[in-house]
Amino acid sequence: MFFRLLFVVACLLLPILWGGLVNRVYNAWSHRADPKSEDDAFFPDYQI
Amino acid sequence: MSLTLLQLTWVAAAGAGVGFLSGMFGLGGGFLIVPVLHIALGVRMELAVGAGACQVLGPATTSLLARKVERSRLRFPLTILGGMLIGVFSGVWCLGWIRDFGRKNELRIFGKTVPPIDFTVLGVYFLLLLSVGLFAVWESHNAVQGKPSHRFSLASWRIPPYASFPEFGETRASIPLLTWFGLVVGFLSGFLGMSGGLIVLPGLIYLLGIPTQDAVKSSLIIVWIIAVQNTVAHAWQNHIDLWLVMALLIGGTIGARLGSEFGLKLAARQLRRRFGWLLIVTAVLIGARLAVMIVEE
Repeated sequence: MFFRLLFVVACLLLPILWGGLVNRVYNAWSHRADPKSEDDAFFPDYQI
Repeated sequence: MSLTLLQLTWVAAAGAGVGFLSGMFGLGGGFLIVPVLHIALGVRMELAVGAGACQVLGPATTSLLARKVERSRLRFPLTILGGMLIGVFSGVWCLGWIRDFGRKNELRIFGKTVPPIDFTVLGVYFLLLLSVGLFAVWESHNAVQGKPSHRFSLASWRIPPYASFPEFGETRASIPLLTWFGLVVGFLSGFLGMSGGLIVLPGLIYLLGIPTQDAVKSSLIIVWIIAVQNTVAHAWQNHIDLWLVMALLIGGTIGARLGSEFGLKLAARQLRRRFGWLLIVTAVLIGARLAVMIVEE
């Protein structure tokens, strides 16, 4: 039970941390003044 | 199922290919992961579905972080949260049930024995991709001819109680209707291991009549919530191989970056039509796989 819970947490953390990392890297690459743009209809770098 | 380094490299390459299409079209691509992993790379269906469901959380997080999410934007996703939650867990439970059924029983179609889980998941994918693809091409054709877009607004259905969404203008919608919408989206996402964006966005625009810009923002939040629920449910069922997920995340990130560079050169209308054709071609390939499954001994 404990290891199963640990596995669920790992499955959640891996993609979320990866997603956060990719966001930071893209912001650094594109030198955005405002990393969160309200105007874009789509965020053009990475989509689902 | 333990994968070798070579297999993981192929998975990363497949993820890059899917990511490229995903980046090019701005939306969609997750629906390709499961068919590609299962049909082209021979990954077991439940693991392909689990990996597809889990890896969505990466791009979904990136997309969410890249946008300002106002508190008022949470009202709509939270309204359909209950429906999505039941839907996702029902979809994953259903997948697990079919997997266990297939271990003890045989499914015979036209006198041939087929694996139940492969046949059901691919069959649902076939129907879903074909219908959404045909709709996208039809809508794009209408747009080229200057015809107004068709909206089958379920928002006009009067089933109390109602909720108001000032963030979408004066939209007032039936809560049971929204919950059923969440239930269907959640079920398909859990069962098929995809983000749900393929159904959520057209659903919000064409069924619930939400303005496109608002629908895009809401769909990002909905997809992220579905991805979390899906990951928890599939991880609990032991459907997730983290190495597979990691390979998809790495390949998908690189591919999506390249795809977005390419996609910016195409007009939105062109993209919508090509996206529709991509769905139809994928559906035909899945249909061919199903036919082979039935025909071959």
